[in-house]
Amino acid sequence: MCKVKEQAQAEYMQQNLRTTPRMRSRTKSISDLAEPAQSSIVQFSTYYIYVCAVLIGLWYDFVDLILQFWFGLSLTMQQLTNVKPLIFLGDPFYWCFDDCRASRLWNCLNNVVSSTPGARIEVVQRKRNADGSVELLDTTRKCLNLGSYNYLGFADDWQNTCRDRVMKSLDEFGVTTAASVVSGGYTSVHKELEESVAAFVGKEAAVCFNMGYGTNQTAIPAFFGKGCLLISDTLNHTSIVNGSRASGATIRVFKHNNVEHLESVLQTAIIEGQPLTHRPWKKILVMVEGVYSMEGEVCELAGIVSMAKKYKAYMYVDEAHSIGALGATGRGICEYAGVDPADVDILMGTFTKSFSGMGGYLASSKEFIDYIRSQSMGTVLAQSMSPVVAQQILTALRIIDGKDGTNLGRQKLQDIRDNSNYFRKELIRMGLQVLGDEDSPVIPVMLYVPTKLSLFHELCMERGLAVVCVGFPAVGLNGSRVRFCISAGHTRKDLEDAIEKLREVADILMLHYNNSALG
Amino acid sequence: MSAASAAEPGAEDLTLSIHVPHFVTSMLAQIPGANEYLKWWINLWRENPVHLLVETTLILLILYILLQRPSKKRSKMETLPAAVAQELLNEYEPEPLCPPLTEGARMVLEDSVLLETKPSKYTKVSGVDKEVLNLTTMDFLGFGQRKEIHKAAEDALNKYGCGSCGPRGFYGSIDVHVFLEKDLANFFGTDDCIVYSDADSTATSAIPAFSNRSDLLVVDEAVNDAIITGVNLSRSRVLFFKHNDMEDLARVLQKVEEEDRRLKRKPQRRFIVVEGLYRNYGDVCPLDEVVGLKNKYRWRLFLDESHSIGVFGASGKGVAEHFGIEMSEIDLFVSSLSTTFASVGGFCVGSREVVEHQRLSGAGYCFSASSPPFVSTVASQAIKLLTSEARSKLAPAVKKNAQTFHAAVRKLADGDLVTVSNPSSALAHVRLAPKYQLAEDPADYDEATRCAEEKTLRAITKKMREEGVLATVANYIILPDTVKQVVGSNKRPPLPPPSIRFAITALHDEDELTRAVQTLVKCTREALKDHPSEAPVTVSTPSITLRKRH
Repeated sequence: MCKVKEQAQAEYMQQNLRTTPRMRSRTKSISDLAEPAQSSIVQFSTYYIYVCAVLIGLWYDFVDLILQFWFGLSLTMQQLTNVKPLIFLGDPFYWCFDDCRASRLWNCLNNVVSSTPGARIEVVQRKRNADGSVELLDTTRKCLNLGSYNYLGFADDWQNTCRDRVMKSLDEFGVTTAASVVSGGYTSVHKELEESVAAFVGKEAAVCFNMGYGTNQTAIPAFFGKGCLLISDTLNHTSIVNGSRASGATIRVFKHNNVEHLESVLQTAIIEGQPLTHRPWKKILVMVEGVYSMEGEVCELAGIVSMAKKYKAYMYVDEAHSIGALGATGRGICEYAGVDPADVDILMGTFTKSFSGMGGYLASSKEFIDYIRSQSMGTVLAQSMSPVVAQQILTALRIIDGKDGTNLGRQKLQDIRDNSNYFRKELIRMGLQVLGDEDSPVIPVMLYVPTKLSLFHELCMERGLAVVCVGFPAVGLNGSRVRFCISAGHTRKDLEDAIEKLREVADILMLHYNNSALG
Repeated sequence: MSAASAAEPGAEDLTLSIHVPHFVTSMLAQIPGANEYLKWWINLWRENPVHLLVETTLILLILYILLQRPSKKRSKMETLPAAVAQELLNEYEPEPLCPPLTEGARMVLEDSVLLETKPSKYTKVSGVDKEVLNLTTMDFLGFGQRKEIHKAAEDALNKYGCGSCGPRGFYGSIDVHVFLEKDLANFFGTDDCIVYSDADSTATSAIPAFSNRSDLLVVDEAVNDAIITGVNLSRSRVLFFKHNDMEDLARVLQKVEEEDRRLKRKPQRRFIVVEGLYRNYGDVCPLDEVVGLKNKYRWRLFLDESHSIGVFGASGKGVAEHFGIEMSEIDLFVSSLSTTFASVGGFCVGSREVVEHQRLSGAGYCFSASSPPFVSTVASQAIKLLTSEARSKLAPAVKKNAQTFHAAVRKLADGDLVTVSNPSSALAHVRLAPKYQLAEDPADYDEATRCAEEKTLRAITKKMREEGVLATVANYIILPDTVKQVVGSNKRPPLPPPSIRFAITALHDEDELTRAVQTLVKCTREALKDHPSEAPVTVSTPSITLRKRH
């Protein structure tokens, strides 16, 4: 696999001598050495816990049913009066499963923050009532934030960096446009933003949407449909999956980040053509993400782009987590992997993460962007971005690009890289199983056993760390993990403290899966 | 069978008197422990021969299946010679990434305006020298211009910064999001509320959360695109009924009930999907009748009130309140924060179960970043304004304005224009009069006729802009057809007919609206000079007829 990767990269380099991108020497990173593997006993206990959770849920439902029958007699009454009962709103099985799972993970999810989502946050304390409802208390706890996507730390220094321009924009344009991009919701701020984004990522034109999730969901159906093929990485985000499903195109998947498998999928697709008719596909699109949000892995873009080129497929890269976080000047995965942006047909990204805003963009050729602007639900019918948010992104972009005349953007990018690599190295040294590549600001650590999620969260909260614990539907059944998101706003002291605290927690919960099978 | 038959001859040597070849026993003797194994087999055979046979067959079956599987999946690719495969690969030529822009799409782009100032009552549009009267912004009660709203946004920005930097589940829930949910639930008098960060993704997420492959949706033909996308994503069976035609709805429900009886169907979740005020037509759904039918046939109701909030109902709760319908009758109540509430996003109010289920399975809630905190503060402030002022001042004002506008169109247009929307609706769709329409029914429009009619409408709005009134032609897109085809169901719904869309707000006064209609009529008369008198002939593609073979 590695060999194919290197070959593909070399091939790509030969084709692109004119651009001579500065290749990063992709030496084996530390995390490559720590190949995550789950011992069978841990795997068994994981599944065992899920089976128990489901059985307990079913038992509760059964008891409920009996009680209802015994006391309420509602079922028999319905049968007697021959009234068709209203069907339960949820899927009963998932409902009981959700109930069981979510009630056990209630403290990890939907935590409420009462401050700006910077490096330090105030987390509102909560209490769970007997009936399962969660109540907010008046007290808060000050925590180090290892959970928000505040990659470049704009939430921390917002008052000094972005405030003035954003407030001016609020005065000039108001909070909302209350109209769509093509019917009167397009202001001069939007125009400036689109031009700046296009210039920043190195494309002819760009178009912005109000919602990052909606960008994928509404843009893909606009240009792909029946008779087209979407080849998607197995770990792509739900927005891509839903956008693909809404388009009506055929969807195939290739193994995560596996260039070799992508090639075989492409070959099979082209040779066999469409199912039933065996006509050639109208067009093929390969869809990948720059940095995978739950794995922290960086995409093998060079290899994938060369494959797409070889088989005349189009490329779509979702830069949700990589724009403004990867690359020497923050230009995302293309810069990091040394790929010419011209070789990626469509670049998509979101503004929630590095820019501390909201929404998403598509950047491509002028012709394509015009097409999307006139045909996508997100631009024709949905509301356009708030001018205030647009101004926030524009200001952040100027700082990252160094157009504000300071060195702040460069410094932030340097900080996030140093912080991420320091934190990752320390976690690996501790013996934890860390996923992802070097330089990626997303650092997941495997917990495997789902019962550890809630406990890990609680122990960290006690020590003043706000962490994100992710369980089943977001990741696979035996992929329960904790995810750290590092920010440029963290100081080295913050991270050193966090590491010390995490060491204690890891000792209590026995998480050293790299050192021994049982942690 | 081989294992069992190998055991049998060995067994005979010890117990049964069947002849065994000598080389078998000698070979077995060389393997250590083979004799004990043989004895074990013999005992099994003696005790329960049927059991042994059944188990052996099962094991063989599993082996057979395991061995068969790879050979079944042999693809065409593997059987092809390499040279042929290479040729096929070389031959492949993809279509361009996007088709060239159609005439209609080009007009959409040319017609879109660039605002240079705040979208308030009078605004500055690029390309026009003087300020224009704004009739496009759907801020029906004019909250966007209020000092209170501005102050709320400014305070929240100062406290929280701009972005929320995360999804609701993972530290993206700022306390103001929770406050807004409480405010909305209190306003509508429901248990709970869930806030999404985009208006359109609310319906797109809420429908698939409650309806999947095994369920059934009955949908009004004219619902907006967000709902259609949600319906598509749910992969449910879909039946459409004619727009606002209650007899047709009753017919569809009756048909389903008959089918149920015939096919003895398992229970499934069933929703009637309607909008309170239809975005694409501006007319009101006869909700009392829908609720009657829903209760008669025991269905559930999905209601989208994005464009009626704040305008209809005594306290601005929308069409449901207007008809005096209890919130408990509506299972899924979805609305937008981006119209009357002058904010960004959407929400769904309902019982605690409905909301909690969406928190776990509403895709737009779980997988998207939450909206910026200042946006939620603004919406909370708007609710405060709505409860304190709407009943007394704003809702009557906007209703009166809408009625003024509709009456003016009827009076002044002199048979050139007609409105298709409800006279009290703040969202008005104005069409050319039937004598100028190029097709009779929305379904009869093809690309050429639609384009020709839209061209005239766009000429009208362009002239109006120059005269100082801003309105837009309603834009639509053709959604990909992924709705599962059902036997006996109607076709996919047609696009709404071309129209000019006006958003009337509480800020306008009678003079302004009359002036706007006068301008509209004047521009229409001018533009109609170039209007084609009859539908342009479209070159139809030759249809393929299959010859019957005897």
